[in-house]
Amino acid sequence: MANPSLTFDRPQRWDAAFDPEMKEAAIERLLATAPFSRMKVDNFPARLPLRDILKNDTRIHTYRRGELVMREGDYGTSAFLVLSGTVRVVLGPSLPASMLGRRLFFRKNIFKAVAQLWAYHREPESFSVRELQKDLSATAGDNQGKETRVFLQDVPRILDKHKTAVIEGGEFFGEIAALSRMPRTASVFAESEEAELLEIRWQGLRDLMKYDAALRLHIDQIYRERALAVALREIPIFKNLSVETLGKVMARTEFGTYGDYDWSGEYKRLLQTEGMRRQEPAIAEEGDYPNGVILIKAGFGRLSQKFGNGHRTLNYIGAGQIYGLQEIAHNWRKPEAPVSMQYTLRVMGYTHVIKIPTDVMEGLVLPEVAKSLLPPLVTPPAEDRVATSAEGDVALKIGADMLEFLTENRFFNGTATMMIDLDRCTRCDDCVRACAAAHDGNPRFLRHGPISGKLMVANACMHCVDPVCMIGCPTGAIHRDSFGGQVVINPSTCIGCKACFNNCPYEAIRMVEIRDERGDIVLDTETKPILKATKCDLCVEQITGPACAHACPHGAMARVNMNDLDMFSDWLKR
Amino acid sequence: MSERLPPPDFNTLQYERPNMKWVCGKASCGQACRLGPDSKGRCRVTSECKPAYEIKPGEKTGRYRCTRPTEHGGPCPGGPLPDGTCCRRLTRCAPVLSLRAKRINFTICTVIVTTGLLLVALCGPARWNFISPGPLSQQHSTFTFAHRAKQDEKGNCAVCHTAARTGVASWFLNADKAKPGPHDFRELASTDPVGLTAIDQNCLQCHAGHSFHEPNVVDERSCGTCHVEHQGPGRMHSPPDSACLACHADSGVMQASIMSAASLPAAAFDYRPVQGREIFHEPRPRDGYTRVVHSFSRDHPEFEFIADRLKDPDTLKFNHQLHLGSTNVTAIKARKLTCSDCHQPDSSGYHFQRISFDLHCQQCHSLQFDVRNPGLRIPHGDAEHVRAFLQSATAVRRLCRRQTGVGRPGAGAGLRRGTTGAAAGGVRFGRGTGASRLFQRSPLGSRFRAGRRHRDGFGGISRLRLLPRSETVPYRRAAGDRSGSAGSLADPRQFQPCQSPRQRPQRRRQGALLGMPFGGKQQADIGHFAAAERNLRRVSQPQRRRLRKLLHVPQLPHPAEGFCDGPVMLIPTTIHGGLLPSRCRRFCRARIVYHG
Amino acid sequence: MRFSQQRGFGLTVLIILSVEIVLLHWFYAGSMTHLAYLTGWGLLSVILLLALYNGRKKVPFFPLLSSEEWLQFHIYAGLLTGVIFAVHISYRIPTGWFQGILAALYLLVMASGFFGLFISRSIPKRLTTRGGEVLFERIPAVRRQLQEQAEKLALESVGQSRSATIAEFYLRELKPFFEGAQNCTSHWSENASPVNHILTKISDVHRYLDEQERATLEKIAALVRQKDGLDYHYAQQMLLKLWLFVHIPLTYSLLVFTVVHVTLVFAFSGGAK
Repeated sequence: MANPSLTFDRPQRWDAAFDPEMKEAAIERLLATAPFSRMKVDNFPARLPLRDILKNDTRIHTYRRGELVMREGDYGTSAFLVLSGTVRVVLGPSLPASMLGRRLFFRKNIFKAVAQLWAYHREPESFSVRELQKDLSATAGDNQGKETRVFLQDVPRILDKHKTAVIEGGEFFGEIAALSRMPRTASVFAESEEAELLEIRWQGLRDLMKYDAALRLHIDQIYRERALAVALREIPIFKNLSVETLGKVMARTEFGTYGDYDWSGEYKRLLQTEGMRRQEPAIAEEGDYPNGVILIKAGFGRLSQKFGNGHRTLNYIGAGQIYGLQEIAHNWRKPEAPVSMQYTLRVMGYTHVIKIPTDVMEGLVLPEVAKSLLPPLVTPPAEDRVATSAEGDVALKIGADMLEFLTENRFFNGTATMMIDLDRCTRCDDCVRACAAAHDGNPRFLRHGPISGKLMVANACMHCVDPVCMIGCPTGAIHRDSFGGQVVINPSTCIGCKACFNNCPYEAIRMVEIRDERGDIVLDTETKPILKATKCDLCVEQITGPACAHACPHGAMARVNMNDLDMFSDWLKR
Repeated sequence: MSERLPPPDFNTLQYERPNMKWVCGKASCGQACRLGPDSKGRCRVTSECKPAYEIKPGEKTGRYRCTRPTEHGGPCPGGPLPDGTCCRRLTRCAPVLSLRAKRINFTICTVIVTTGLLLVALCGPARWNFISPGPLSQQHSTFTFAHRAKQDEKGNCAVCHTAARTGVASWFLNADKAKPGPHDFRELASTDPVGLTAIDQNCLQCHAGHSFHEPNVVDERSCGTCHVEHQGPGRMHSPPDSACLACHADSGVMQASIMSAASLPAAAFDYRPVQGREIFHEPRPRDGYTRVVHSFSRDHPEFEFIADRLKDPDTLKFNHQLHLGSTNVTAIKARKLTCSDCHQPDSSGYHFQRISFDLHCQQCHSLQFDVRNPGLRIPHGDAEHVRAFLQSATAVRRLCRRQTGVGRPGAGAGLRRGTTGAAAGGVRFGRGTGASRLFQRSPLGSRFRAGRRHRDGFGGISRLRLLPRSETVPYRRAAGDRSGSAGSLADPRQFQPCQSPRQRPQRRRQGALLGMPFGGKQQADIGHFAAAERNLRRVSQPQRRRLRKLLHVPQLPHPAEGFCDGPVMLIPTTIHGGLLPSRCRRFCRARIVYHG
Repeated sequence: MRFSQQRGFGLTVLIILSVEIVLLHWFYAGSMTHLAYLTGWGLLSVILLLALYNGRKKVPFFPLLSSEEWLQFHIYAGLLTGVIFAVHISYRIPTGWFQGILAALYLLVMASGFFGLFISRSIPKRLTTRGGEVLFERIPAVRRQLQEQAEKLALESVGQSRSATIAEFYLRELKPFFEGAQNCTSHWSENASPVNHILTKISDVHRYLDEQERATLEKIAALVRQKDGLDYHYAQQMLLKLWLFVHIPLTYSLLVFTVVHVTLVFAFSGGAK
């Protein structure tokens, strides 16, 4: 019985404009402002005219003095261009968390831990009156329509205490994060009484860069200046290069993004169809000539090899991992017996990569690298056999089915995936009760989820490497804890907008109706229940760490880091 | 199931809260409401929405608006009632406890019920039966014992246990004040012997002053270390070996006991209650019973013979029934045999002397065979001695013949017939009478007169009449004389052992061939014996040699006179009732002649 | 291999301690008059440690070792109490009402513990193999869904095919099946005959139906199978929760009895005044 194919209107690029109320006059004004004024309209294709890009992919904001434009550590998908006024970027030290709508989570000491025994609310999701009032004041910003803005309370003091830099009219900022889906590197707030900013979402920015050389060069240059050096130095093989060589390498480095930036939304929609594999464009194919080393900066790629009539996934690689180095190094050492790319690299959802061409590698990098750092030679596969190296072939460690399961469901994203061994789990709910005990009587995950073999991946926040949930939070309530890296939600600043709830592809976030101390649901002025987003926070505040795994009597549960598959396979084989 | 069922769909938007105590009452029908009961178990549900009052611009009075959330159906078509209440009131449910809360309640109930039942059992009339760890021994279940239980009519517990004299509530205090108490771990763990405890004072109420043990006990041990009660009905178990050895293996304690005994009068040791029994007062060892022992099986004085694997060398299966039960078996002074006729205590008065033939059996079963030589007896006991004697008995026979002329034709003087006739029994010794006085009447004579026939190795047994008692030579052994040998005429060790009994059947047949004149005769006398001898003498030398070979007659240093090589054994029928034990027959290939 | 290592470690420690205890008892039984008191205190302290597990589960946020480690200790210490118990009663069957009940309570707790361990290791595998993973508290909602779907199908078939065969069959045979949790004891003993019985009846009805009705009946049969899977989960998950209704209350009863036992033993001991 074939699955009836889901039919729906193919989502058009501009079905949802960034700002539906973008006026023509504004567009005209933009076109008259640099850098758009310098752009040649003819460079843009007919289906993507500059005007339409501006109309659909940009938005003009007016910020008042003190308003936060972006927070350091946030995941954002837009770049900004200052149209008028000035904004300040905080260079150091970072703004305190409370100013950014965040909360610092500290581990409770033993007294507070003991107090959890009696000092918890008897009603679920209940907040005291005091906490509720604090919430409302925290979010009392200027609600311009549906937007929520957060004010910084004391700008002069910030200026006094923190080193800042001014960004004036005509300058871009935030483009690195937008393009590469990396966290914002700094907080930016408006300084002048009124600062007008053009927010360009990443699709627009990508297209503008594509068709306008000047912008591309500019952004390229900024990127290289600010991010590339650091990124390259993180890789062992580039670590000890001389500054001069590194500069030359950087000059020749290319970078690009593949796949769908908005993969999470599309992923959820297309989950039931079989066309998943077709949605994964290949960055490089098995058998191709190795024309460059690919370094993954953000997102994930799937390594696969031909197997029978299909492809067999061997591994998935994430940020910081290299593809193609082994083949190029082999060819450099043995030019008489060259090999082609051994694996196919496909995009999984979205991938942002840095590419270093082969000749740069062979000419500049490899000669300077110590022999010990070079990867081993490639042993070409025998005929009709899939050659796998023990390191590369993860399927040997955890099983091919498991690997397919993980990659298809995109679970590799997680650093704390909740895995439940159903052959040991007695369904006693001790884990849920422990989670509730550690969170004021409210459990933060559901013991249910996709099952493969004997493993279930429960609906508990995986604290992803690439946290799509964090994109678009208006108040900064959802953020990454700076100490442990867990993705946490600050309930006092959460306004229940459901952005994160909708974004999360794993159903890890749940909206709850908050209640008062008597247990009645708190209603807003329109008698709608006030919602807040909740999810697992890996027990940042608890002494024991994740209470769930700590409380399982049969060793049936583990919070597994999907990027350390050795530990995972050890756990599977226990 | 060959195929796995897919997980069913259910609402995953809400958390599952297994930690809540109360669950919506409609959850068991699958219609749990989203509000849930409050923490006290009351249903919170009122109506589906909370109408909002809104005044739109331009209106004077507002109206109520249904605020049912979209996910629960959106605004209802009817709208709120004019007074502001929702038109759709929901029925309240009866919240139920979650399974876990039920378990907690069940546990509490179980504890309460258990405590209640325990209180009922402990405060009720069956209290003592209930807490008793086992029935009392027979000794402590007697009327005497119960009579002393004046304090507590319902049970005997108060006689020994002080705690039983007070109520249940004070048992905690009793437990706390016990020595060793619940907190005295050092005392509980000590391996030192336990001295007298509080309960022992109650034991001493009846068993005063160690009345069940030697009064020279120096080490006051608690009664309970040896005598454990509540081990079941029946006799109280004897103390285990280790209890005895606790003192008796300790030389220091034994030494002290000896010294203590020295200061006590002898009468103090006479402590066993008589209670109507006939007590044998054995003499007390000099040092009392203070020998240091280490094990019952190894060095306990009274059981040493087991350790030394001593065996009773007397393996005679004595027919007590016959000797003591029959009126015909009488002792010397015409009274029935009693135990003490044979079983006499030794000088210590502690054991019985060994039964020996000479001391105890000789009186009736004499080994004399020559009236004129009463001192001449066939030895008993040592087989070597007997053998030697028998072989030298030919010398006796020679002696007899020379003296009485027995065996020669016409000779017979000296032997007289019995004068008393059949009833008295007598001996005919051929025609002579002299030697016939030799023998006493066998206590078993009547049986022989009944006509039992015995067969000897030679095809016939002569039965001889027995002499009456009055004519016998009295014989009594001097008391204390334990020698068993009559004084052999020759050193028995000179003689070779006889051959095996296997040849006996053949010899029987051969014996018959020789035409022994003994078969089927009721009476035989030496004259017949002499006739046999004569017969053999007539046999030619080569025949004699052949016979000898056939009969496997060895050459003996003392050949019989003339006609046979073997000795002749003259066995009085009084010995063993006329039945020669097989061991005699086994070693002796002599022709055996029974004669009275 | 972690589980086997756990087991190996636990068994080794258990065996060593058991042998030690038995040997110490054999050695000191003669000389230590109050050895039974000591073994009794030892037994009570281990039992209290075992009983503390319930308390530990109520404070999962304390750094008191993981629940898994506690359970391993609980299992092996529980086995050790068996040895200490045997040594405490000197390998004799207790006489007397009170001590008999005390011993019986202890043995019941031990037996229920064994039972719980056995089902904790065997039922999860069966549940996983069977599939149909569902949260226990959501089962009534799913049951209701299935019931409503089945009823809807049965009612619709009347309109569609103008005959009430399926509806009547449903009312007669299937309604009680869909109503509550069925066949718990059969599921506990892995006996599939009740649902087979119903499916046989369904296939018997086939001959009286037309094409459309047969399609409906197929869907109803699929629902029957789903309902059976749900019942299986209900029965097994319920058993995994019910055994603690025996183990835990009896433990507390045992503790009450033990307190009285200690009092009695000391109050009526040789040293009690």
